[in-house]
Amino acid sequence: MISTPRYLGRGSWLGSRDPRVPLVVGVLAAATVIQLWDIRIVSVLFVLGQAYYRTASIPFRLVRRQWAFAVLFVSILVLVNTILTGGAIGDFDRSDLHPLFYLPLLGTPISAESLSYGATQLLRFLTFITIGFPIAYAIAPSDLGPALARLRIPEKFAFGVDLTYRFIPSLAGDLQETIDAQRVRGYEWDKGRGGPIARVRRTVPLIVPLTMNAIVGAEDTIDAMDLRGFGTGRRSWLRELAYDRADRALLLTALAIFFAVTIASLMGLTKLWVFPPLLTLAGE
Amino acid sequence: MVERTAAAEPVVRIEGLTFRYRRATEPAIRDISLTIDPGEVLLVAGPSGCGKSTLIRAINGLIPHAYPGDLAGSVMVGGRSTSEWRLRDLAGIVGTVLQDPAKQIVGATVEAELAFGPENLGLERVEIRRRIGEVAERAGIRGLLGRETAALSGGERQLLAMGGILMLRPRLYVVDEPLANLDPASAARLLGILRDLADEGHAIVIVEHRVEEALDLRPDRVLYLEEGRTRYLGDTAGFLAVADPDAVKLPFDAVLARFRADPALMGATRQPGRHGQGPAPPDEQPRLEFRGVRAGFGDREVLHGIDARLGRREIVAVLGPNGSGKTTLFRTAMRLLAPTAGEIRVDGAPAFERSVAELATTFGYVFQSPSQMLFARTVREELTFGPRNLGRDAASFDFIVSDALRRTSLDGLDGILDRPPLTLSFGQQKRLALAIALSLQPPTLILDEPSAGQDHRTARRFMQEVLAIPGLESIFLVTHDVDLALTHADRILLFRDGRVVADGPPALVVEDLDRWIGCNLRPTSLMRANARWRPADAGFLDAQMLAAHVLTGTAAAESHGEGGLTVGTG
Repeated sequence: MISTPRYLGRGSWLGSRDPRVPLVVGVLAAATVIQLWDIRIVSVLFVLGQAYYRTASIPFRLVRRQWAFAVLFVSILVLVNTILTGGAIGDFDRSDLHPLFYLPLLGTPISAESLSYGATQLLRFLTFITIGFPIAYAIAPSDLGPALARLRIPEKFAFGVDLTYRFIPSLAGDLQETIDAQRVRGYEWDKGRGGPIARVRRTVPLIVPLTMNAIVGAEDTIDAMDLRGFGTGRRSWLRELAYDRADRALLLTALAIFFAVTIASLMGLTKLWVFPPLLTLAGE
Repeated sequence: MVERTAAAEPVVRIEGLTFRYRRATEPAIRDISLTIDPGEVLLVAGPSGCGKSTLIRAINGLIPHAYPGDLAGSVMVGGRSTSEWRLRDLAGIVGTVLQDPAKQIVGATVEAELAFGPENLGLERVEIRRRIGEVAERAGIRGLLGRETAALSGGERQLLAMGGILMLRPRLYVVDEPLANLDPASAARLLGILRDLADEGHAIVIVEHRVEEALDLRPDRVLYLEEGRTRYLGDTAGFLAVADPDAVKLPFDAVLARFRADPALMGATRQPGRHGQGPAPPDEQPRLEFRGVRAGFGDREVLHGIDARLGRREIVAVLGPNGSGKTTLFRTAMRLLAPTAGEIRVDGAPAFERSVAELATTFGYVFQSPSQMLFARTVREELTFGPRNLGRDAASFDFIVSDALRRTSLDGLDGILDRPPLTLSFGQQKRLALAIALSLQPPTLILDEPSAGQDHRTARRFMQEVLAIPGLESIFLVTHDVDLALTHADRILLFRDGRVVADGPPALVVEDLDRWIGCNLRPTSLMRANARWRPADAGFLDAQMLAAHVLTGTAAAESHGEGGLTVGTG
């Protein structure tokens, strides 16, 4: 089965940009946000990110599940890594923390700092995702390879990303075919009993045929690419890319924010900001 | 047509070629010698496993560049050994269209796909654009420009795959089973492109099971392989005189001529198998009934209000062009796809009252490719998977397994129960898929493209075995193989654009030739011959049976004569 990624941002303002723009903005945004621990500044970037996201005009109903998964995933990550396990909190020493209470059984201190840290971390992740979604949905599938290649990414890698991006949905189609083939044998993955290991074992009737078919199919695809001279020398790209004024403005804005945050970070202005009400609550 | 002379330098010269894959114990091809001249069309035919694919790989350079093994003899392309060429440079001389275009197409859009080869060769953008314009015109795919490859039909993809090779302007075109995924109209278009290329002086190598259709290309020579060796290399007339009509599907006239020349061949003919008991009486409760069923994928509706009754004791074949809704019909019946409107009834009760697993005890659904379902370590484990899922008594497993193997003639294979399913040949895997469906002891089989991926002999044998399975009440099959459907079914459902456009016995359905062609179906030589010679009270006969019938002398009296069904020349 052959299928294509969903190009949901087609025709939008962001979708009409040079395909390198979402990629570069994504990298700059990541490099910017990673320097920030002050939730007030992260909030500003999050709002800017939302505005940026809206220019891609991605219908929410079509990505609702992806958003739900991403939010759930980062929430669990933050909850486990920064709160439940009481891991390192920025530059704070444990003796400087302002505990609010201790988790029963675990004894982990829940402090004004850890809660502020968790909230900031969550918002940082959400900002990454907000900026990252348009890369998946607002770049035409056929533009990904040329865009990466023009960004000086090695050609084999650039085309590899392009191809992977295109074949993942095809793999999803093959998976559906295998699910159907097993269902007519009375197989229902979600109806068996047992714990997580039993559930993983129940995926074997799906995973084995899917993997075998993918390997065999990949061999044909590799043959087809070899026979058209892929990877044997420097290649050209039919797709012509050129930044227009809006592209440059967007890139300059992202670059300016990056430099501003970098300078602020060097000046020590982006450190963790602890919510004053939490400090009050902790008896500060 | 380009005049070929003996003095012309061959594009390919193969001498004493023998090749054994690295992990194989036996060579895949042995002692092959041939030349291919500019402007020549070479048809390569033979049963599955005869070495056709290996020969192609040797010509296009994948052997030895991508497939290591022991190679003896020489393969010269453009005057140099393939081992001396870089694949990149060879791509400018030999263009290969693989069998499955879905695996060959790497571009997300039609333009990106066409540009892929020239981009790899580093051609200038202006030149690539110029070639896209030319190729789109030549391949008849100008209307596809701007579209995403995922949205193309099977036939459109095959033409695009051909276009991707045309972009490289090779001197030799190697085309591997191009007709396998094509409906007749698309096949005719592709053969026309290849014929034009040959007339312009390009060499063509076409590998094809569907010999009858490939002969439309008017090949100059035919290479017939059996078990990796050259069985015949020469002109078409000579090939038709030596080819085994059981192994390769030949035009009916050729089968008749072979039987006339060698009456002993008639002794080997067998009935295709049992037919069902014919169309069900109107008052009998059908096994499967569709009432105004609509279904599709997302916003795209595929079935537009289907009304059909499939009887408890009949063989029904569903025919129609790619994408007309044939497979979707039965996926909907099995509740793998929910209808958006209408009702489906199984044995008189609404299908939605039963789960997919429960429906599987009524319908044994055999998918097109067995590799989509095989996963277990042993055949026994594979066969008990379904009964286990349905909570059958474990004490009955031995009986179920042996019964399924016996009914599919797999019980004769040594140590079959402990063999890993994926080590079986493709034909054996097909039979195992059938056995898996039978392990749930359904009274009805649904076969999706039973002849796909099999050569003529294997496909015929498979159908004979299916029809001989004891205890089966009915068979519903989806197929592109017109002759298979006409010779085996009691009834044909003809589909076009998600609608049933004809429903009746084969002889009646083919009467309206305009409708037949309108459904993108090809009138075959067997149809023409059946119309002329088939006994009035008999169903469609396969080529061997009909030829035997004609030659036993009863044909003259029973012939429908020239006033019978008139179909194209095929």
